[in-house]
Amino acid sequence: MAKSLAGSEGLLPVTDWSHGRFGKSGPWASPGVRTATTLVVLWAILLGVTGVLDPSFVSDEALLAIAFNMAVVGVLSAGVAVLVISGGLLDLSIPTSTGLSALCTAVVLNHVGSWPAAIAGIACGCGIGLTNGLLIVATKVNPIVITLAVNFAGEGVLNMAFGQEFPLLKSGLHDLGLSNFIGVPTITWLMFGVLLLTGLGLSHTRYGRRAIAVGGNSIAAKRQGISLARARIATFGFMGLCAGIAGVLYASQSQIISPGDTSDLLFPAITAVILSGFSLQGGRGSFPVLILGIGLLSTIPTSLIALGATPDWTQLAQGLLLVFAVSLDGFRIKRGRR
Amino acid sequence: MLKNRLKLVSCLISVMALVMSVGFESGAAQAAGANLTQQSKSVALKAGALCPSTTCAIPLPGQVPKGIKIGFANGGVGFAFLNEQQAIFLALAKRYGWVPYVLNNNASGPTAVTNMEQFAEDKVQYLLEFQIDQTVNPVLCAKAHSANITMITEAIPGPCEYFTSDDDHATGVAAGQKLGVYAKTNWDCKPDLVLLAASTSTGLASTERVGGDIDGVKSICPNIPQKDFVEFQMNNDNATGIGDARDSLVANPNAKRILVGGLNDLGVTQAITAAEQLGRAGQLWAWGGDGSDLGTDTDPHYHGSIQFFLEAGILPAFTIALELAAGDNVKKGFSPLDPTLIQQTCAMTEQQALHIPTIQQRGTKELAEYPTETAAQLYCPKTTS
Repeated sequence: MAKSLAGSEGLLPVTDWSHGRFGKSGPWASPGVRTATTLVVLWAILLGVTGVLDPSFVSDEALLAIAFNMAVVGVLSAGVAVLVISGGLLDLSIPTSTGLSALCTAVVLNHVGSWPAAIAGIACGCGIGLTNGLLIVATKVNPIVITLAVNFAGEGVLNMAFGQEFPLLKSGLHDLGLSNFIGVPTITWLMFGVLLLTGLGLSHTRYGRRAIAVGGNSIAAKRQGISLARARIATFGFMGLCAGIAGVLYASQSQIISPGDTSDLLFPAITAVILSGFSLQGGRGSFPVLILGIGLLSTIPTSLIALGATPDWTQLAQGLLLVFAVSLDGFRIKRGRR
Repeated sequence: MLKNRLKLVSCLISVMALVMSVGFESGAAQAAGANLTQQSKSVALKAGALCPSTTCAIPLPGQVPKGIKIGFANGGVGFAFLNEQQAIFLALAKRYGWVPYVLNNNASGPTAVTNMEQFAEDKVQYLLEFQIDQTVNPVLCAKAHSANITMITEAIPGPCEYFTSDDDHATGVAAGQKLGVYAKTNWDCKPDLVLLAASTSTGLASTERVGGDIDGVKSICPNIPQKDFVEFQMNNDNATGIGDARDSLVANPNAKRILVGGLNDLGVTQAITAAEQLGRAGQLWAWGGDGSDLGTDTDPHYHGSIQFFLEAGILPAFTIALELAAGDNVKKGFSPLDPTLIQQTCAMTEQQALHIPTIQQRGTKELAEYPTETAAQLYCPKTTS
């Protein structure tokens, strides 16, 4: 039912993991496939040019580095993707929720152990996510304003509660952050797992389909008895869960953590989602394409440094990509209204 | 560089001269019914303690007016050493009967600018500024100037009037020499890669320290090709910093004998983690840049660092404020190349660092010994071999 509601507005949700619905006039005419093709071509060009100019770049190690780059951002992107699908929402408290989760993980890790630390980190993230959702529903204020406020407040809490940097003791969690399995970092496998489960959950569970329906047409969804408030709380809670997992993965590859560490994670997480064709109007997006977006975004720094550029060029390239993706999304929305 | 050395030497000589005059002055003062200022100044300094003024004398409580409003812009309360600096600042202000005012810059340039407006509104007279994002320092200085606030920047320079810091280039050289000695002893001066953590936003401090690292390595191993010195951008965000280090290692796929150094210990540990993730840390040998991880038993590849006694960085800044309040002729200097006051540092192995007190304990001791002994005099080892 949820899909038909969304479809009634002409915004067919493309959220299935394995059997995406790509539109009425064949898969190649749909935005999902076009976005995927564009990303694959861009990624191939980037890898090809870098490989030609620096043949040593074509290596298992480069793949490993790119895969490591993907892990934390990828998990956060899963949460952002769900928010965007469920109504073009954004969560600006990602830096705080990830940072707080990482610090919770660090503190528990040093005093108890790896598993309790991971649980504590994820619980911290969920707590902030649910707080966001409840505040948004209770106050009916724009989620951007609420999450921005929560981010500022969270920074204060971080500073007051932790107040200093934390060296992390050697642990199983740290080993996890350094390890790899069949040539791919373990934390990247975990990211793939999160993306897979999120994609399947959206398309195959009642809660997931409701989130899509709310994003596709909230008024129609409400008429069908879907509680917008519950959907909001659930989606922000899920964002918090992802931030919690990202915080644990962040801690697993850090030897020292301090408040404010994660302030740079917001931009790439949002960029990856928009770059992957998730509509800022909600209701549309594909998780397989999201993996391509995360991969392309994570390859840029590795390629540019291999070519001798500084990280400033990475920022420039990623910024331009976001402008391109947002413009493309605007163009599609405009064309869809005709 | 030579100019700095000469200034350092001349300052040391003036300190020695002052110390030599101590006994005479003390006795004379007592006999003459006491010039309290001179008597206290004579007690204040020992050989090796550096001074910001031509009189080279640090006022003691009672020798400067009470009730002066002094601010401290804490760079970010997330840093343990800055928390300790804040504690020392508050204790010193209390000792001198001054009114302390602390705001948190939270490692953010825009926040620092907002805080400066608050300091101005509350009519702070002296401001000790630890600002991590150097790019806003010109704005801070301009705002301070227009509000008649005397601003003393610490560690990260700004175009204000007074600046206190370590000698960034010299500390870089000291760290680089440790790397060079290891390369010479173990690899016949043939490392494959010297990976150095740099930070563009930190500005000249990074340039000088990383440049010092290179000079230090080359002073031991002059024939290492320039192409083998590779800088990466460290970042307070580990995901970004480790990523940049990882990408730099990927760009140098054949490097096995890897030396790691650079601006600070955080950047160095980011490079170590990156190498461990790629399975490239087998022959990696690292020496830190600012001592912030010393004594934490961070990683077996991290062998030591330059101990900055970062918690004590507030003391020379406060000293400058005290001397200005006392009307002394304090040297102006806002560049790392020519600061008002140079802080002493020393190379220290991780093992040595494990045997000195913690930051909090050191802070308490340094405060108790101020101004007669510096942190370096209290804790620097005789050798670092």
